[in-house]
Amino acid sequence: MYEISRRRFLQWSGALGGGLASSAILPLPSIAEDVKTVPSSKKYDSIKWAGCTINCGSKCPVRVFVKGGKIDHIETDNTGGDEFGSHQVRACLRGRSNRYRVYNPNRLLYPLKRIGKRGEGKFARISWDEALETIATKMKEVKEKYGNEAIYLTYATGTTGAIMNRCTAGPWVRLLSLFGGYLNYYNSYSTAQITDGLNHFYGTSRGSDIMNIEYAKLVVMFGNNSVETRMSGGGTGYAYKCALERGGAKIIHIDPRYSDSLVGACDQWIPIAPGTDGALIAAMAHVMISEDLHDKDFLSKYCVGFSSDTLPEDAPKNGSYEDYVMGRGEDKTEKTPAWAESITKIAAQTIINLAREIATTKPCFIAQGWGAQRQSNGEQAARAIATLAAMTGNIGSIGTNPGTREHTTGWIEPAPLPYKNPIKDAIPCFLWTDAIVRGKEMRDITDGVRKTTQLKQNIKFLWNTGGNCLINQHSDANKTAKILEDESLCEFIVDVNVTRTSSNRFADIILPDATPLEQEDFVRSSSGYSNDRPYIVYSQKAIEPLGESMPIYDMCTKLAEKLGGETLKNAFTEGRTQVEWLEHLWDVKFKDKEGMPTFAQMKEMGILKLPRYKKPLVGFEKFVQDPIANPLKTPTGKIEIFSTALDKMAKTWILHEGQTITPLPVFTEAKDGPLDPARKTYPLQIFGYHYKGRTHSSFWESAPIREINPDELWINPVDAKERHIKTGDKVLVYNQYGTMSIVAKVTPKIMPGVTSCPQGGWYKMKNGIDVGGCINSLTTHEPSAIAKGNPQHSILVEIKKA
Amino acid sequence: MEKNKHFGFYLDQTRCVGCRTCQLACKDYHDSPIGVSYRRVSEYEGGSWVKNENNLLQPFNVFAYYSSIACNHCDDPACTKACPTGAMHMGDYGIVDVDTSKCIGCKSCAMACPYGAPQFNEHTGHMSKCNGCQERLDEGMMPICVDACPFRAIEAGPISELREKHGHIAGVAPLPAYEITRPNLCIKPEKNAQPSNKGNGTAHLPQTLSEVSYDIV
Repeated sequence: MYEISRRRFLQWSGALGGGLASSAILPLPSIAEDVKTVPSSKKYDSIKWAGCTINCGSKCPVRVFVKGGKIDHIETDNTGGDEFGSHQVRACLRGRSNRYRVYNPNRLLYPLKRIGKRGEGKFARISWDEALETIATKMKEVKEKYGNEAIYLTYATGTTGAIMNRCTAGPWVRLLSLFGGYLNYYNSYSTAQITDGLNHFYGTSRGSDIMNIEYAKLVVMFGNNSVETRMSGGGTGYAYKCALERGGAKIIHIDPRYSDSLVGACDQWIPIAPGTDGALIAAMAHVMISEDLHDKDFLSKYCVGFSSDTLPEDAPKNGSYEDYVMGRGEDKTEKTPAWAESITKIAAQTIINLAREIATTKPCFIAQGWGAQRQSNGEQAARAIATLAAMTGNIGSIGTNPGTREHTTGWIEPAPLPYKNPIKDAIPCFLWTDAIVRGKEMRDITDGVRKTTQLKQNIKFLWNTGGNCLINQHSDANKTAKILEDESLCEFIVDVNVTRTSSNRFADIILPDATPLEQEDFVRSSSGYSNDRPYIVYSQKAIEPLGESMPIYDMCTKLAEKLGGETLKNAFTEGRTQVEWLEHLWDVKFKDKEGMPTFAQMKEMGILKLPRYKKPLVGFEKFVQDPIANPLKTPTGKIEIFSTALDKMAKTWILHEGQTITPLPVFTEAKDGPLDPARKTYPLQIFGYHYKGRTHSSFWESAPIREINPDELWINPVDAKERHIKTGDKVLVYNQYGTMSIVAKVTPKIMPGVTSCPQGGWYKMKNGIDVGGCINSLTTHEPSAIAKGNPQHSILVEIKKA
Repeated sequence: MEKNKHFGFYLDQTRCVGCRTCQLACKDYHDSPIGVSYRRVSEYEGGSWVKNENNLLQPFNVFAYYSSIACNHCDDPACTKACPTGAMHMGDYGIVDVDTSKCIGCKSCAMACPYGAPQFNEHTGHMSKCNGCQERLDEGMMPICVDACPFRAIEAGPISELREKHGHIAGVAPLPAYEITRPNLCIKPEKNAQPSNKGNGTAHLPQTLSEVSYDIV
């Protein structure tokens, strides 16, 4: 068994940092001890490695068992022993359900063109030649009429982690760049507020590896749910469980719902009203300041603006966080635990106890998932939670996490497919519907447009590939549908997917993509959430693509020829096939790297697992060791509890009514948030959580996985009783944006006044009601103030029995 | 394992987070249709909300845990006793299985089993159930569910060895008491786990809530 004692471990301090294992001078791991999993009585044509490329933040290896040219079933990594540390990367039910995805009755087998009104969902089969000819003609027309700035490739994550078959990178951006470019986007639907918020705090949003939990005495999680969102072997779920078992830290989860991360391990559940994390942190700060428990040395050495003595010169008087908390700031309100109780719905005594415990227990691992930040005031919440880590000095040493989401120690990936978009203009990815309607009005200080002061064009040509954001995952589905239906706004929509979706109802042309099991590709552990054990998978083509579906690289090659003849085609391919590109990209990165296999070896092996790092990544370790030599990438080089950049932004940006930008991570009231007066009409807060049975909206199309993960609306017995609702009842959830129908589950696992359903159910309108259980029937297009991100957890609703 | 030893399962409830990978892996491997699950994951949850001195509702003993259960290949199986044709029988490894040449699909076994193990397959007209992945056991492998679990919460093997390692507890709510069928199952209870018949929580098997079809867009 792989074991390192704590004593021995501490001697390793600083031995290995984070980052890429590309320069791995590590011994090639043996996969010879492959554990047998095939009974000799069963005869298969072949067993091939592939990867699950859906964006849960993992990317697990799967093995595809083929019989008679068809996939018989899916298994997972079976190499090596299975002791933790050298364990198998076991795919979850989503990865294992890939067979159902391939043979899904709604699988796209041929190119389709729209024959009804846009959005009506009527399509007819056409040839690849007709499809690509139509697309090329329209692309040239839009380029001619509006310029390349009118072409947009939407944010999507239905196929990520692969090198060649990707939604918004790889062949698409290469081809569109060669065609003259396209309007860029920045940030994501997952992390807009936390990324932007923490960039103004630490200069980055990266944290420590979750394995630090093993060395922590206390773990405090805000809206962080590893075992549901990242439950597979490539994710953090198993590592979280093992680290808790091995280290024995006390664990507290602060979350409106009793998530599965609380099962088995958790010591305390503190339910909190969604969108109020900033108030809880302020009240904890009040306790710490009043009782002199905060880490003043850490704050004065590493931080800006906690107290007035570290405020920048041009900061307002009484502008420190301490001033805000103690009621000396603008609002003249002391942020006492009693003040926070009425906002957060956490008892004042619980807040006091929590503050004392966090302040007096080191090391404390403080982390936030991406739930707390997906709010109208999400940037503030994200920065407030990070402030808690700073206040208690739990940054930079083993066993701590700087209040960010946990990060990975290292990962491996070949070089990306090269491209250079001549257009630099970028919009926040959430604002593409706005850019269709009023693109030319969108400015840097009004809409967060970057690399230009104002957009040149409205979006006229939409590419959507491996994505369901056109309708399902974007906010306010009903309003979005109206925008997309109007052919005078966005003139052409192309959708590429493996299945029919709610989104491609709105396409003019649908192109059938091949699944990862039907082509050769690399699948890298996505964003490296594999923690401290990097791996990479070579997807060996297991079966021929179904029908006329084809890999993205091939369709882009054919489209390149339609757009610019042999010249553009050759510029795009550089004479390489998909596999030749994979070899080239592997060699660019790993050729002659000691310890790394050759491409041919990698192709044969299917999976490469590097040895575990001896020490997990500790966020901001170098900065804490020497802040002068290793300054942060913030304007002051320090941790900015008072953000100098946000202070400037607050004075210059033009905001919508109700939006605020503040230099301090204060609690702000949010539109559709817990204190919105609209709560009189819509008394319940609702938020969507990531479901085990799908990743966002992917996998929903497979009935066998949905059978055991049906859509359920969690409602507290107190709220259910008032509305005469019992488990199994069909209910209508409604507000000013729309109405959704879903089955109720009455459970004490959700706090009163709050209700919740898994996000990603497929939007399906029937008589003005979404019967698909798509939470975006209820969400708003109004972006958050700073990041212009999707505030999809700021929602108010009322519920009644259907 | 040896054929004359009795096969059983172990479940670590402290590790089981209800991800249902076991259930899906089993379904995929055995090609079970919709409506048939040899392994099922039930939720058990309880607790309440009470007002504090400021009239604020606060959670009181709220808990939840999961039980991933297949067939327990019981020493005293209710299903074999209920079967009118002898189709449901105990074979090698003490594994209880269906002889489909004798099964008339009357569902008596399903009604008798307190674990819900026998599953009616409407496509074949017969009962079906977990057979411990016998062809895998024959060759020294583990059942597919055990090899699938991302949290290593399930083990299988000779029950005597599992009990030696993990103890004898099997009667955890919402499962029936051990004495009823004497299951070859042992459980490491979750910290909130309650004994059979004495639990104050609610059991929930989500697949019973709504119907699923392929009519999606």
